[in-house]
Amino acid sequence: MPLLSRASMIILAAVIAGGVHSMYKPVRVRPVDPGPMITLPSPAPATADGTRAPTGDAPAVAATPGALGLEITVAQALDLYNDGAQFLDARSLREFEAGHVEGAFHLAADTFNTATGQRVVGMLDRSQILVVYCGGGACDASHNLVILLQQAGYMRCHVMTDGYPAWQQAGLPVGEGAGMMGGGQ
Amino acid sequence: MTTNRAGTPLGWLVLGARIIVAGLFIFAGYIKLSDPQQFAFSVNAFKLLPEHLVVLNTFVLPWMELIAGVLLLAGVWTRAAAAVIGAMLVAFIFGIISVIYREMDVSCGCFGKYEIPCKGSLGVCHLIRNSVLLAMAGLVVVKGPGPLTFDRAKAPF
Repeated sequence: MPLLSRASMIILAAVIAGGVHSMYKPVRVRPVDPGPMITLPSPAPATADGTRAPTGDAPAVAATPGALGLEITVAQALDLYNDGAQFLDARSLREFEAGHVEGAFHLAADTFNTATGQRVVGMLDRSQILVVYCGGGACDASHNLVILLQQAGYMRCHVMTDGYPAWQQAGLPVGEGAGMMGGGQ
Repeated sequence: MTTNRAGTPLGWLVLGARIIVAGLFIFAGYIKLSDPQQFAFSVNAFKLLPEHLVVLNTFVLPWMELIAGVLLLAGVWTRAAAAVIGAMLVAFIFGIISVIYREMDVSCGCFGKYEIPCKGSLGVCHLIRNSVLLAMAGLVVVKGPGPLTFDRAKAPF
């Protein structure tokens, strides 16, 4: 039998095996966007001069109130932060230790199924709003982590699209160091 | 002149190449199939394929590695298995060149969490490793299976 015929049969066998396997263990490369999940609260009462009252010592970033989808801005993330949402840093541990959203947990997609990763997951509440971020721009880490979280039943996830650099540039609360592996501080 | 008959130096060289290449590909296939979701992330990170092809590749590629690796090691359809592995290595090399050209920071995902022998993001080390493996697979395709093969009982193709 010619070399090419045998090679083709090997490839065909792989296609069949892979096709059957994919039916039993589906994978995703994009998070499920559940559509609008929550409604941001109305803006804080206007001050005497007509501007919005600052939230704590937060800088002047403001979110448009309304429904949030999967992808959110830094301003929308800040509103969720002030409402007590849990932030998850999907970058490498080294990047997390160099600086992260204050109070964030470190949980990367490639360590999700490790004992440490599962310890962090165990600390999360499925009813809680989770905000996941990575380095912004073209980084996939936050979306990958959201896929894993959704597969584990955590459906109230948002991705802070512009990531930690935008949060930091906005002068919002940050922390440093590892703390406990599963805790930001 | 050295020939590729069993027991000759070239024959044992071919057998060594078969064992090394097959061992690595069987291991790589097994690791990827044990956690397809993580491998899907790795494939997607290359930004070369549309979503549906990423999913297809996530399952077909590891099975191809596994099947071709087992055949190469067992000495069944040895040259065809080496040719399939060689084709995969050519594709991997093009993928790595593409990543380097686009200055992307992408981890290999070749062996899951293991980095054999190249560490860190895709780079020249991975190119050299795959080129060496490609040369080994090419040796098997050109010179035949060497000793310890079931192919020898049949007419060579």
